[in-house]
Amino acid sequence: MANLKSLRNRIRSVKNTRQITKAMKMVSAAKLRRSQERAQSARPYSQHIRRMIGALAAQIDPQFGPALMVPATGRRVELVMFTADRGLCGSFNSAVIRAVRSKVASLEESGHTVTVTCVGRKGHDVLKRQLKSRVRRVHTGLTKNLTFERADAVVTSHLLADFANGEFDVCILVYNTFKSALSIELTWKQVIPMTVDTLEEVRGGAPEYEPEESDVLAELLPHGVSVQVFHALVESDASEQGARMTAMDNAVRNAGDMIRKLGIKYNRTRQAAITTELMEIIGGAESLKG
Amino acid sequence: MAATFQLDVVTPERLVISGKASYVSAPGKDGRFGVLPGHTPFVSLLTAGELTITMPGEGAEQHVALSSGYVEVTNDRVTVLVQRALEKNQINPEDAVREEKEATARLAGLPQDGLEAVTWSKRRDFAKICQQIAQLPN
Repeated sequence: MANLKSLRNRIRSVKNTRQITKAMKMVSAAKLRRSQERAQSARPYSQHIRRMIGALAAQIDPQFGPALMVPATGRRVELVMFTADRGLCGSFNSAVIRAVRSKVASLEESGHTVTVTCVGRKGHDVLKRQLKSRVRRVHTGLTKNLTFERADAVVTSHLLADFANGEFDVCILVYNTFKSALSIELTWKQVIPMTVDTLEEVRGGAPEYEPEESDVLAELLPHGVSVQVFHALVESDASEQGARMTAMDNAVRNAGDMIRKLGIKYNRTRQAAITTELMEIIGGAESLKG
Repeated sequence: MAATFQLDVVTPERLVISGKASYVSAPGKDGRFGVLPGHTPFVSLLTAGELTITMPGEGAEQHVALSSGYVEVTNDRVTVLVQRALEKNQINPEDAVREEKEATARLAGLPQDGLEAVTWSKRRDFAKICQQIAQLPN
């Protein structure tokens, strides 16, 4: 019976899909572990840098500090959106994209000019249709072989150069932060002008600076932006793997459910076919008797 | 020489060295300087160069190649924050030579002071330092 055959094919194809999603889940699990380790080992550096900037900024009036610290007066906002290069990771990309889209709408309503830098291919794929005129730069393929140096050279250097050229006044990073494999959190982080948690008390008394405080700060602040961009990339990468793992886990489970349902349907159909055949035989035998 | 301080060498990607040291000598932007335990707290910029560490109880000094960065000295702690750091035994001289060649070649084709030029000249400097350190006698 044609129906039986098509059911059998269907079951086979769903089984294949399950096999693939299972493999993808394993791959993401392995990648997730690596990404998490990277996030972990990147932490001491960013903590130190943040502490140093905090200690320094406490001694300098933001109004007279380097441009990266001066509170913004302009109304041009740059959003840096971190998405994945690839899909199949649940709501990971769409959450960021949706947030950016509504932010752009609300900012423009309040009279700001918005531009967007897309890090990751997926975000750009969507935005190039809807917000094409606002997309300024696109960077892809960063997470494949992520190092601080590359993040710095590719993303941050452009940001800083554009800021120095006066193309925007405020820069905000939008990315997913890794909480656990099951939960990720959308994060907004303003990096220009830098929001500094100023330290009131410096351990061991105020240090001496060499060269001058303002010179050190002028070097440290761009570096601080770099550190935060790298941090965003690392977090986003870990979240991506986590989200993909969860998504694939769901897919495996759904495929299993489907196979079970199709199996039952297959057996029922088969049974029905046998019953009909039996009825026909019995009917035939009865009519011969009579 | 019982006095020591905590020394951490940190890069954005990992913690390279964390341990006790009794003396370090670092390549400051305005010249080389040494730090002994109990040094006045200070913060300084570092250029690419060689970090020399004396560990208590170990006779020989340790050599580490640094790219540019920062150093923070507090009473009992020295923290070196740099983009890249390699201990002498982690350096592969052939890699360093190759990196320097590549960086020099790239630099030749780039406008000076451009964004890319800065990155490549940093890499070239670091590769040079690595080669120098690799040649030091043990």
